[in-house]
Parts: sequence; structure tokens; C-alpha cells
Amino acid sequence: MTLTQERLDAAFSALADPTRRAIVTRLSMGEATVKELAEPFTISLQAVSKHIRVLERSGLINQRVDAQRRPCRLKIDTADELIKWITEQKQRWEGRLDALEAHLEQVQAEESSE
Amino acid sequence: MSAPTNKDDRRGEFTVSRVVDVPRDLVWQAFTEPEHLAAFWGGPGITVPVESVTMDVRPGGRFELKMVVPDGAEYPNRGEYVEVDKPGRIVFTEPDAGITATITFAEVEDKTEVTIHQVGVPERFLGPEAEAGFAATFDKLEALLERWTDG
Repeated sequence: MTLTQERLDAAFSALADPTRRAIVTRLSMGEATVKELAEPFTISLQAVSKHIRVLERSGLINQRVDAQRRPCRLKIDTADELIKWITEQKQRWEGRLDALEAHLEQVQAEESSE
Repeated sequence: MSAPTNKDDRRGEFTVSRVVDVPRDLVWQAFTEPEHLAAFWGGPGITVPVESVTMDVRPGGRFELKMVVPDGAEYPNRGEYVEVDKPGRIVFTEPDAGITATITFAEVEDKTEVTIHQVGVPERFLGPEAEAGFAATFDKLEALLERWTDG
């Protein structure tokens, strides 16, 4: 079996459950947090989290680490995801270096004024 | 659509560098002392409370700090030093993120060139599932859902 077929199987078996189908349908309209996803259901947040983990393992969705929250979303393409992640990491360092430069300038200014 | 990824991408490998107009010893201090690190580690918009910073700057030593985003939410950032070679090189890992970063400080006349070389990707990009993700070409999940409804 090819990887693609295996992935399809995993995806289809994950979608055999009505709660998980509802979650995927909700996510096809845009990303949402676990709490937001749990709202329409009578089951516990913990049970919803379990369904989300199954969907994650099947490769259908993932949880993005945002600065403020961890929204779930449909996984479109791992390669695009990875490139996006690397870009974010680079930006993180560039931002850090910007802040470093500003900080060092300030330190030097303080030293010379003493 | 599948974007092409080369080997470096798959390892999460990249380099960023910057020449800063200060002597190397001061840059070393900035990366190894909590008062300095707290002032820049978060980058723009994210603050690091200096009292949240603990750092044991030696091979095997750990660092931990809190990042506070504009809405007040706090996120931990922790890692471990792999190599500490004053004043030219620090290697650390962040196991939570799956990354290893090498920071080198090189003297360029009276300035200092800071170079970061980072390798590694979070777990979600590893393993058979991610492999399948790279191999597969699901343009949109709708296509999959359609097949499911048809079947």
C-alpha cells in the first residue's frame, strides 16, 4: 500500500464517527479552538479533545500554535505547513535580533552617559 | 497544492545573521545574563519578565523563561545548553519545539556578527503521518469529504 492510500484509510476510518465528521465540517468553515469546537456538543471537553487527537493522528487536522491560542484547522498540505513554520521561525529570530540591537544601543547610551 | 520542499526544509534548517555595532563581550553578556536576555528574547511585542528567567549557562544546564503576549497570556520557553564556548559559541536545544540552535559570535573589526543556525522541526512534521502528508496531494479536504459522502 502506498503512503497516500494508508493516509486515506486513516482519514476515512477517522471520519466513520459522527462527532468527528461534525468537527471536520465545522473546521472546513475555518479554524477553531477546542473550546469552540466543543460548544455544539453535549459531551465533555475532554471527550472532544479525544476526538480531536484521533483526527490529528489520521492527518486530517492539526493544532497550530498561535501566540495566544491553539486553534485546530484542516491540514491541507504538510509541505506548505512546514515552509510556513520555517518562515515563522526565521521571523522570530529576526525580531529577536531587532530587539537585541535596540537593547544594546540603549545599554551603550546609558554607559556613555554615566 | 504541494509546495516543493528540499532537504534543508525537511530538516527545518536555516541561518539568520546580523552584524551589531558593539564588542563581542557585550553581545555574549546579552545572551547569557537574565537582565539582558529578558530585554530582547521575546522580540517585538512579546515581553519576558526578568524574574521569570532562570539560566544555567553551561553544557547540560537549563534555561527557562516566560513569554507574555500583548493580551497577557503567558507561554513558557525552556531549553537546555548543549555547548557553551565563551565568547564565541552557544548551542542549545528546545525539546518542546524539536529544535537545536547554534549561535556564533564573530568579531568583525570592532563589531560583532551574530549568526543563528537552527535545525529541527516539531514532531508533527516527523513520522509516517507527516511523510504521508508530504507524499499526498490533497488540494483541499473537501475533495476527501466528497469521496466519503459519495461512498
